[in-house]
Amino acid sequence: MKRFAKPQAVLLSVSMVTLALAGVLYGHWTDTLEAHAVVDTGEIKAGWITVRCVESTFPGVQVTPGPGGGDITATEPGFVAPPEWSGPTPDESTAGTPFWVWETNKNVAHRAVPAFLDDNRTVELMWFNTYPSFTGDCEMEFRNTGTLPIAVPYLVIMPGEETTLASDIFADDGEIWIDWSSGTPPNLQIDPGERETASLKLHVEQSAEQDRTGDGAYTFLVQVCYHNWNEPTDVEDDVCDLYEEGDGKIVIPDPFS
Amino acid sequence: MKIFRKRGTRSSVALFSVAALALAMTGILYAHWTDTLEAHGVVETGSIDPQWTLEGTSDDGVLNYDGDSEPRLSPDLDLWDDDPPEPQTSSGDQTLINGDLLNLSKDVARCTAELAEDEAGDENDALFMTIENGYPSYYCLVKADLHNFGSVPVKLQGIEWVAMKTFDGVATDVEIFEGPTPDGFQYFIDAAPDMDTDVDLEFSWTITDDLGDDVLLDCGYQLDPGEEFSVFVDAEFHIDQDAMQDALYEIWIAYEWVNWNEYDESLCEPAILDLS
Repeated sequence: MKRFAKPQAVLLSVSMVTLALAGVLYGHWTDTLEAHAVVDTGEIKAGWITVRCVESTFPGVQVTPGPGGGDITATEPGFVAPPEWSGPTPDESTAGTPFWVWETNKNVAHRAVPAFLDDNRTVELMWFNTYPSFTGDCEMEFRNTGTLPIAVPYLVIMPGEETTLASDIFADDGEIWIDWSSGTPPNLQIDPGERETASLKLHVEQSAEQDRTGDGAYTFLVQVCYHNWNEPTDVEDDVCDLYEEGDGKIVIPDPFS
Repeated sequence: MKIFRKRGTRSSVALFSVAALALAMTGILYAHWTDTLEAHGVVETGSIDPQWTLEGTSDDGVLNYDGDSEPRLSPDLDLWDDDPPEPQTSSGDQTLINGDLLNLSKDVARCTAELAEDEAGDENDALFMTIENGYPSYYCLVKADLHNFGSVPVKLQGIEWVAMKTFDGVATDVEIFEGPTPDGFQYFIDAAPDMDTDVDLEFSWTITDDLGDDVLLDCGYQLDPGEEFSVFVDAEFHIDQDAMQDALYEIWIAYEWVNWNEYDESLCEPAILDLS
């Protein structure tokens, strides 16, 4: 038994050494080149960051001052206050302007805190206890919070189900008139981190109904349509779902220009 | 007893001296009539040492062409002004839209490349290409060269391609498809162009030789040593519309080179799906 085991052990040892050497030698005569590519995509993201609503003034339109803190109203030029009118009246010196605006001695309308929806790309605005001629003004600030520049081809103002938007102030074809304005250059792109501001004004028209409260209140959504800066503006983009929805909306092209 | 002892000693000394002298004489005589021939074997082994070298990328912020460079220091890695024609920068974003390569005013994405050691510690065996903050249509060109700095030819034993997509913290393997294009071969990450879904990322890995002719770097390809022959790699990345935001796409390519006479054709397997 002992005599038979020794040659086996020697043979095994020699084989192992040979194999190990072969492995080492093979390893020395190969080489692997690697290429590693990492593509990290950015993010398109933007939204409203602040909405400050006050009772309104209009650019270029003189506001007849009142006692302070009163509701602001706007009427057609030439408005004549009825005899029972007890508060301040519009100043006729603003004749020639599109409408007369003045601060009343009443302070009964007020705004709700804006609701930010859809990851801040939509904001819902609501005012309480308003009445015809009441005007409101919201300074709205929009920011590119993503990592890529964006183009903003449209802004959609979508009325609530119970709200009809008027085509123009004093047009008498709707309950709420909304105006949008911004003073930035045309063909605007917003780079990451940058912000733009615009102004939204509303005016409660004569055809507005009384007692529109709760679910029946006049509401509207303001949604910005935006996309990657290098895409054409006719791309149907999933960040602009209100653009494809519903009747009665207002579409404002190049809203920050 | 004393006398006998003296006589014996003298005889021994004489005998020893004669014997020593005889032996010495024999050695001298022998040395004069012999010669030794030597054979000295020296086996110096060569080496295999394929390595990457890197020229740069089209959006790394480095001006690659200074006007006096060799032609291979590519002017197409820089953005040029037309009037007068001179390179301006290598940090603006480029987009590829409907086949047109446009230099646009944005500089939000970044495309860099660097060489590193591989896991075995071999220098310049790993080429890392990174695109940060990419977006659809963003285009980047990476130029690298493949050299055999060793002294022995090597053959390509195998190529391994692996791609992975990470989104929302979840990593998934994605397929790579190879398809022919007018300019060579192109690799489509996550979906083939003729499938219902769109492609996330197009990745052209074009390899040319010194003369600018396309090289099919496939199993059995022999890369000879020396400076006369090099293989140039143009890696073009084009992010497509279907790419996800805030996602990470990773591609690994491994070329296994072996000593030219150890190549075994039976070990070669196709690494990616061939649409051609």
